[in-house]
Amino acid sequence: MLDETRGARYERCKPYMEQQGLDVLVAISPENVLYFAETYIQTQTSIRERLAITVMPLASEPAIIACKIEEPTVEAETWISDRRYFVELQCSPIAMLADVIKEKHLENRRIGIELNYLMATYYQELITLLPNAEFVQCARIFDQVRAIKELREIKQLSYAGLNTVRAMEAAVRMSRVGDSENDLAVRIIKNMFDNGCQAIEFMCLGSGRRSEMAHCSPSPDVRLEDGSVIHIDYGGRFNHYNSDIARGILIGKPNEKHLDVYKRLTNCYVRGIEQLRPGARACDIYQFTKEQFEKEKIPFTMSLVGHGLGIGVHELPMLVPSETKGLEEDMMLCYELRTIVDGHRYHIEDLIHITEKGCEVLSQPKLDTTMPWIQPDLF
Amino acid sequence: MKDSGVSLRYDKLKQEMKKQNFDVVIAISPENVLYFSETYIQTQKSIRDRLAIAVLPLEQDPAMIACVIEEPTVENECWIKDRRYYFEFRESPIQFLVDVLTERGLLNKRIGIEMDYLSAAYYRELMQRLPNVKIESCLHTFNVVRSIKEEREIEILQHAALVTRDAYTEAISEVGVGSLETDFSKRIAKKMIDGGCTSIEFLVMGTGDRSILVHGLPENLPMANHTHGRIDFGGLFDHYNSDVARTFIIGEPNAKHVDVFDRMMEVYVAAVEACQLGAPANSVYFTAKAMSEKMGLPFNRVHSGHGLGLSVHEYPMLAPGNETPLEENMVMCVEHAVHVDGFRYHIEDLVRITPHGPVVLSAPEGFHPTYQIIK
Repeated sequence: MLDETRGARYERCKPYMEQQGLDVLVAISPENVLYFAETYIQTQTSIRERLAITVMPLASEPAIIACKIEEPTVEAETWISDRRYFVELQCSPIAMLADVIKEKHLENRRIGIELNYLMATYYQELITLLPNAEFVQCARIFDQVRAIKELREIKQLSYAGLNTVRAMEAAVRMSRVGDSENDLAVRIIKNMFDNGCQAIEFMCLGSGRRSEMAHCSPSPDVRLEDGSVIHIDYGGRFNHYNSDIARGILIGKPNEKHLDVYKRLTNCYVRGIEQLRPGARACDIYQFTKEQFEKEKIPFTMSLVGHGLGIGVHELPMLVPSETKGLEEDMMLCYELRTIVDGHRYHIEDLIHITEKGCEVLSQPKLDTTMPWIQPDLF
Repeated sequence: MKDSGVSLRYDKLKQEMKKQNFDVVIAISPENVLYFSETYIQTQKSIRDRLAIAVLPLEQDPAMIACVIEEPTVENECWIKDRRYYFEFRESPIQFLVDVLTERGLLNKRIGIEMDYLSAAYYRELMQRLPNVKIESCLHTFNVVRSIKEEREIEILQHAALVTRDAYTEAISEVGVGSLETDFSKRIAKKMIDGGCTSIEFLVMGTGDRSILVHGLPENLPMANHTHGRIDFGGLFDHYNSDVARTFIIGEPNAKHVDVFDRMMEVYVAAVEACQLGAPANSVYFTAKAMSEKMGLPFNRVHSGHGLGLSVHEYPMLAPGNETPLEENMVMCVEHAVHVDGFRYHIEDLVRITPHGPVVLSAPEGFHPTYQIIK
């Protein structure tokens, strides 16, 4: 298990920095500032220009830069000693970043920064202030460090996944044919809040033909039709960690066609889960899954068959054809399979922990691929 | 309407583009893609690399670019006729954008893109593919159009504000001294969901000493007698934000907290009354500042409020440097907060600019701000 001492995550970046000749890493995304500085700056997501920045040099002390309004939070939470605050609308966070870089004599060095998050306006400002620095994308280093979970993270993700499934199962039992899509969604969401969720990250729910849309919002005007099917893909945040679960849900009178397609899908799913172990390559898992779809004669149109999960919704490992790295112990990922047949989407997704020798399905300790069912009233 | 090729918002945008001499503007943020293409692509926020792009020329036909996984949604919702889909991890959305600009003959024209949203990685790619093309920020163009709200938007924003406010007021009556902060916050969240909220965007709360944490999360701690708390919270209702802040007394009122709050209310009411049609946006800020001095309260605010809509912070920012006149049907949060002796007091409401003065949308029954009491 990984060292959970404050600052240990920063230390885990250093071998990658040495390998890639980077003198400093700069974290600016909400996920990476939270992870590395261990302080939650809530408005980073909602007010994107209000940057928070963690500066992590290879050979000197780290620093954190945040908006002045966040000072009480940062002072209360971060392990980093060098804390600097900019006044919003008056001072530039990028100017403050440039100052830190110059103070540490890194202005002519290789600087890793999240180029996939840093906005172009801030980037233009940065390269103007530090014209001799070489800016290099470092998101992959952060992704790789975060891909191997600490025990506390595994516990938190497990709790999140399990309680997200339970919230849905309880809501399905309460629901009836003729309820609206939104009625079901609201029951699930409220159950999730009761189970410790602080925010719903996404709720995609569509029934009948609306199930075809990958990210359909539940409608208060669409009724759950007897004999039809629902597609749901949903998740929330539990103490900053995400859940991500998908299911097909049968409505009312069992429809043999929906049951048949879902069974074929879950046959692929069960066989695919058996492949998940340390050393298995993501690209091979993708290919294996594709072959199972061919065997079961259902359409395969996925660009990925799974993804890591943590503070971010899509983390490493990405189970895509281009990823040749093997899975490692204590990675946490969602294995997710979906198919569209005759205008209906069927989808299943669970949280998987890669263990020493194989894997365990944490969102369903006893894996049950039976389709959840909104049972019909008898009379 | 889907596939209509027609959009009133696009027509208004073109007026603004003409004023600012843009030949094409490119929307890529979740808020602007939703607003201008009228298509909701849910994963734009959670999977930031999965771009959706609305290309909006002044003279030529617009185009919409999205990930192929979103095709059913886009086909179902988007009014733009030219719709293109890229395969994630295999094809580049930026290449698709370049193709559209090239086909439309826009490469030597004035191109605006959301430079405050476009990532540096995508920007570098764009510059590599179009090395001789100058690309500028069009943030202001989009923000100006969105700052004047349509009637439907105002209805949604008011509904959102009232549900949010009422969720708090009802929850206050259900909890008591000694209830946990998390119990209180959970009740509020569930009531918001019952009222149509699809996502709690933020719910920050602190009682006692923890009230000073501007964005602290509620904890499993009992709310102690004879102190106070503050909450700043909001959610999404049909994609539009609510944002309300309140201060509450817990148990027996503490005279000091009540005194600070009462003086803060004088400042706050003055700030709201300063929201007059035609007044510069910063007049609200300077009113709050002057009134704070009169009330003997510290004033350390960076702004006194902000526009609200699909984003939490929109035009107009009620900040000292902003002299833009307030216009009819701008909708904004007016907010005031003070820190005194290690405690934070905060209040925020939703205000609409009208020819008859400010209308407090979150208090249609009459604007008489006060604190609430947990008994």
